[in-house]
Amino acid sequence: MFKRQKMINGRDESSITPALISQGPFTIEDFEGGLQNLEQLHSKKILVLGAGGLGCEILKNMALSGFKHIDVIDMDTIDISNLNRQFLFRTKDIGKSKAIVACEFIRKRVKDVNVTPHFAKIQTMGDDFFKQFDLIISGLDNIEARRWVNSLVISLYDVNDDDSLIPMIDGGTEGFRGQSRVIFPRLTACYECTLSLAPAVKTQYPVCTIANTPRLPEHCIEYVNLIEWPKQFPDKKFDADNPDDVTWLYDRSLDRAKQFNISGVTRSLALGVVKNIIPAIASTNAIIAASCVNEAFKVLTSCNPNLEYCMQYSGDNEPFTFNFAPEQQADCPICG
Amino acid sequence: MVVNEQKYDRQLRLWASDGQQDLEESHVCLINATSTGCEILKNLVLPNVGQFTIIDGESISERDLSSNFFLEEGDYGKLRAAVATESLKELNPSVHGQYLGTSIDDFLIEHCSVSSFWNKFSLIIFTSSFKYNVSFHKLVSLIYGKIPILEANSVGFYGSLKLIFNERTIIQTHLNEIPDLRIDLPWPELSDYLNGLNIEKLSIEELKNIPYSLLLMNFRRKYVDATGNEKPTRKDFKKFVETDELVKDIRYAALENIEELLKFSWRGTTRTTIPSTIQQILEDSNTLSSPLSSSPFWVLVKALKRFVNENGCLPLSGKIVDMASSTEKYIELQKLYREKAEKDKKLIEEYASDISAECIVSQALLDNFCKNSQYLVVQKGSKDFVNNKMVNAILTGDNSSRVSIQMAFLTLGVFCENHEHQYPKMEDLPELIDITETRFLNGNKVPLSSKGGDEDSKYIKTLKEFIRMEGCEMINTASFIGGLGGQEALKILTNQYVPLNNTLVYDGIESSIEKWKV
Ligand SMILES: [Zn+2]
Repeated sequence: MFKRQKMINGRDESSITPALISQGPFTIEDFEGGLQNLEQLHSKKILVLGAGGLGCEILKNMALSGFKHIDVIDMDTIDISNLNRQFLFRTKDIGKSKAIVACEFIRKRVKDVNVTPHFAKIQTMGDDFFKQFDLIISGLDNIEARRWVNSLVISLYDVNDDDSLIPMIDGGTEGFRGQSRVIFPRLTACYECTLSLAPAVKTQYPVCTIANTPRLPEHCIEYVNLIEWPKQFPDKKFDADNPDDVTWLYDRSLDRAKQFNISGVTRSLALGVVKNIIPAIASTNAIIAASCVNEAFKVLTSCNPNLEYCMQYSGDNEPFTFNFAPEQQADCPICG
Repeated sequence: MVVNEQKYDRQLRLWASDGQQDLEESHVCLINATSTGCEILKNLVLPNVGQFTIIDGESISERDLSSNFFLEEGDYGKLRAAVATESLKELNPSVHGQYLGTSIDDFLIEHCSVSSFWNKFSLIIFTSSFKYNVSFHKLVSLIYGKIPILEANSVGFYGSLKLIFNERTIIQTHLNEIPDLRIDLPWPELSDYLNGLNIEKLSIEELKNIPYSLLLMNFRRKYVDATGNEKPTRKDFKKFVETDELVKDIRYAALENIEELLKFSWRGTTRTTIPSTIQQILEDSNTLSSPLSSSPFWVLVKALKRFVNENGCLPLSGKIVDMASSTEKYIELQKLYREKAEKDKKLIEEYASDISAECIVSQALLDNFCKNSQYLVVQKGSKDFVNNKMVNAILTGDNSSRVSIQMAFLTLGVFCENHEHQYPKMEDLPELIDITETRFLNGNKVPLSSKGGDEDSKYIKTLKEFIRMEGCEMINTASFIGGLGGQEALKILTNQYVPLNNTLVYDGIESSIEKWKV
């Protein structure tokens, strides 16, 4: 029997140790149980992309899953509308860097984990920054940043050098739904290979409709946003986080709706249309982040087989998952 | 209130202010502040559940600290209920939280018959139920049919979730909506409006202002007049529309509404009917027991039944989709649909008060009921734990089935009951097999090896995986079940969306869930 590491009266690793010290009935062939697996896990360096809804959950789970070196990068600051799910932030933190506040909280709760924040845009970090990590786990809220990172990890992989392979695990949520996926550069399909599955970025209304024949409250709001605002303020970009700007937009949208006899313009709808707001709750982020970190744990320890590519989850009716693993696309512009 | 609207903006888009109000008026009880339990509660405290009460008599162990983010390192040995309550309250100061530092076993012995204690809760969440098997089943029989129970467990890479209720009626189901356009069944005002438009005589300039649903109505009428056939196939009807002179003459102009007309021509063949799910609900309203029959939902269902008998269709939802057209024509059409919906609603209201003068139906409820009458859901739950399907899955050694996870949890429950909350070791495997066979398989034998091989069967593998994990909660499984449990609890508390009915397991090795009804 192996001797187990024991910390007296503190946070030890007793909850993850059984999975690592013994061979299980479903364990992959070449896995050998033992405390060396725990030590190996401790030495891994992880990069977390995004410290938002998924990011907060990912950091919490990583800190209690044996990961000791975690970097997190996020350029956003904390907004009041984050507080319904991003549980590492409080009202007093509004306006501060998400990455910095999240790391402070994690350090306070879980003592022996090294978390390093980067209050920066992902695209400004150089190749050498990314190369130091054993795994990248992303909880980003936009497709563009995902595509950028996807293309980067594939370009960093030199087929003659196993060490250059960085697995990427990607999570995404919307309302009661979400998905997690495991990408091994050039071994599985990449993010770009299945881009057609990504949700539509934003509903586009034809300009002639919003200008000439508006029928929905959304048409009125988009008209004010796209046509009236630039006319009125040619030198100022509309700022959806500035209450004065939003009030102006809302008032003008109401005027326009009234002129056309259209009902249903509300401040909340106006914000939803111009910011392209996606509904978000803590529980969905919890499900997807847990799935992502569980896969990271399995990928880096080989203690059990990992997810083959993608798990789609849907909870707006009775809960349901659907797993699929498409082929790498031969004509993929990134990995093909 | 403005601050709260901003803070909860991202969830209000899912369940609106009425769902939020229901959530904020609710009180949930968590039994056992395990990692899974605290994760579920976190997912309810953040969106602003009204109150929570934790019942838990355990002291914080190293293992708790190892897997529960809501306990702090210095909390070793302290009362778990107290620490978890403070930690969860800190997430959202407007949530009221309290605890009872007694184990559920002791609590039920003292308060077993006091159902008034439980009546204040909207939902009871019971975690690590397999460790408290006797109390869990005692509680189920005490409050089944009164308060829904969410049972949640996680061990190693395995988790399970069960929602125990007698019946749930859901109005705002948010099921995929198909527009209720009544193209085959225009009411008199709509018919008059259509006649007044004189579609066949319109110029291109005028025609492009007309929403396609009106054009479809016109073509449907024309088709029936020409063929005498009331039930055109999609293909025939599409051809009929495409080859009509009116359409042929103006196709070159590529009018947006004509494009939509051709794209959605099949909608001209759909018939306004009563979905079979709704017919079933209408039938069910005949056989209700007395306390239920006076609930607002069932009074409205009875009113709906009379409406259907007299009108042959459901009340109009009043919603129409966006259709390319002029603002003026679209708004006129919208107004017709809204006025008809309003009229139908008044009838339902009248019938409801005929049926029960005492029953108070709020305008908001009436409104939602009529708008969603195509999508109402009535779920029949149960308090059963095993069914034939599960027994067969174990006996046939079905490798693709994850029923073995749930069967193992049930077996663990009996084992812990027999051994004073002790978790089994590898040498206890024969006893576990014996429990499964005698308690759940009617004495039939568990297959020990997989068909034709010398490998263990799926069920034996599952038991061994359970034993090797020593009963540990791993954060990722606890958090996954916590998220799922959170979603299901939110559906129950907001009375919106369709919840699990009734058993689900999570397999973190294969990364998927499976659900079934027992
Ligand atoms: Zn690719």
